Amino acid sequence: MDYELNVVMLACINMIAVLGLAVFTGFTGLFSLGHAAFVGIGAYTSGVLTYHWNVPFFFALLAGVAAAGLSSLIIGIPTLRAKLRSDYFAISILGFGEALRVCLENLSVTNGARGLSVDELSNTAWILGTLAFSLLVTRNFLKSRFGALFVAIREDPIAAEMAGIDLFRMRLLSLVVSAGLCGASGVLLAHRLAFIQPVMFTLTQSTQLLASVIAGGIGSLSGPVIVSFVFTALPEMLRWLNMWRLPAYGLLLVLIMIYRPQGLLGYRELSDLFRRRPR
Amino acid sequence: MSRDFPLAHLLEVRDLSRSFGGIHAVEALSFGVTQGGITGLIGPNGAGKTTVFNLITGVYRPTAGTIRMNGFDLTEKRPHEIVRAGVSRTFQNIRLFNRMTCLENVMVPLFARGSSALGAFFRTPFVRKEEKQAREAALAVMDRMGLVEAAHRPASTLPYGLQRKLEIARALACGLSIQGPRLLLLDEPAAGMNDAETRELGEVILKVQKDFGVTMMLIEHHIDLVMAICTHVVVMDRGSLLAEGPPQEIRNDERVVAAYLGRPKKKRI
Repeated sequence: MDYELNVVMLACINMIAVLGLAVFTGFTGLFSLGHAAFVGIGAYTSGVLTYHWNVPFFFALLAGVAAAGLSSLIIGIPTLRAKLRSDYFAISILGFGEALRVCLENLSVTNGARGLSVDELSNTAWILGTLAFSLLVTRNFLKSRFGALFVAIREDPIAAEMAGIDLFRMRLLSLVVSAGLCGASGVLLAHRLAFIQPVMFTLTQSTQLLASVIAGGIGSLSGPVIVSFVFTALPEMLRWLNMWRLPAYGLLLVLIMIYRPQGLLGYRELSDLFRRRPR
Repeated sequence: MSRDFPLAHLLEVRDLSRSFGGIHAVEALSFGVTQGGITGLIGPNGAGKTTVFNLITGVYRPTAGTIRMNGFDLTEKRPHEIVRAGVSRTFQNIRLFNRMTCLENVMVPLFARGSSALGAFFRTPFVRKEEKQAREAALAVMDRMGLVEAAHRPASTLPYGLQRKLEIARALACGLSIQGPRLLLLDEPAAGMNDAETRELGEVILKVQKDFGVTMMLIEHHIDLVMAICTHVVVMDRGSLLAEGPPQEIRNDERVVAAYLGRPKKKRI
């Protein structure tokens, strides 16, 4: 039972990060290959705080979210001001993620590449509570005027600008919110696994986040969230396949791309399926 | 080519130039748009008409020259600041937010400014009120444009003519929160329309001008439409001003006719 619970908890933690990337990629239309960096910043900020100074977990969580949000400004301000095209942006944020890994590996406060053993502080209540809060806040946010502005920017950036939208500010806002969510996910992850290492927050993890968002569906929150749960739980369920585990995972992705190129719930939400008439 | 304009001009373009590499798309262009009128911008293909619109709306930065709107310098401003100064536009190839409903399309400009993100996270009563107001204002514009029935359809499912109308409605919504005069730029609104549709569009444009009190400028190739609704015509050729004046004068201007049709050549032997 403990094992299953752990898998579910890890999936829930992952869902928060995917939620963040869905805001940025699914709704605002910019691809990112570096969002694991924000997970890492959340994890390390909180980890360092609880490990070295015994900061209460709640404050460590807030600090992790804030640090991830603020650090996104470092990469967001120059690249978004320059209006880099989506693919160029994805590459530059990839560089940011790799630079962060090198920093984490060489700082003494993070204990370098050997990793940091923190206390196991995020219990089931913390994880479920944070997930519920994140889901609620993100849904509200995307339902508000900001959601409409993000979608407008995704659909046609030039027309959006000509409708009076400050493209730079809105894209930056979307990045900060998404980084904050990733940060929360990182805090919970660090204090669930009780051990963090720089190598846990690299391109591989960023790609998995992006794969969840794409396979779940652009312009959808529930799709990526569902898929991220499956993507975390599935490799565990497939352990009996031994060496064929990862190819099976890859096959699933290929099948989704062939049979549902728009993703599981592209441009729709789970709730739309139960509504009689589309709005 | 510098000239002095009377103060009555809402938009003043002076010595405007823009080159792309070695190509001078617009060169030392000066003209004025009178408040309240409909100014036509015509010229042969490649004359630089759309580039002028892109310069006015901040899509491109001019290489030289100034653009003033109601005495306010727009030259170095960013696109959204220009929109806030009262300039809005439509596009040659319709650019709608295709996956959004028509109503949402018209609401986007109204949403461009408003309360902070913090309120949005918790969906405060103030945020709901703000949304309701934007919805009502957008519906009022759509009502006057005859688009209310289509309000909840995705924009991409509208027939072509209605998409043009929707784009005009969205551009009008940009000006709703703005005090002072507004300028609406229409880039080939009748492109791809037959004669009957073009005539109907002309009526829509005149109605919009009357209902919303906006000053308009349009790029158009349907000369009949330009002659029927424009109060003033600016003719461009190869990036420069060729002629300017009331429609009747322009129609009979030899240089304009020559630019469109070519000069009669001497017979070859």
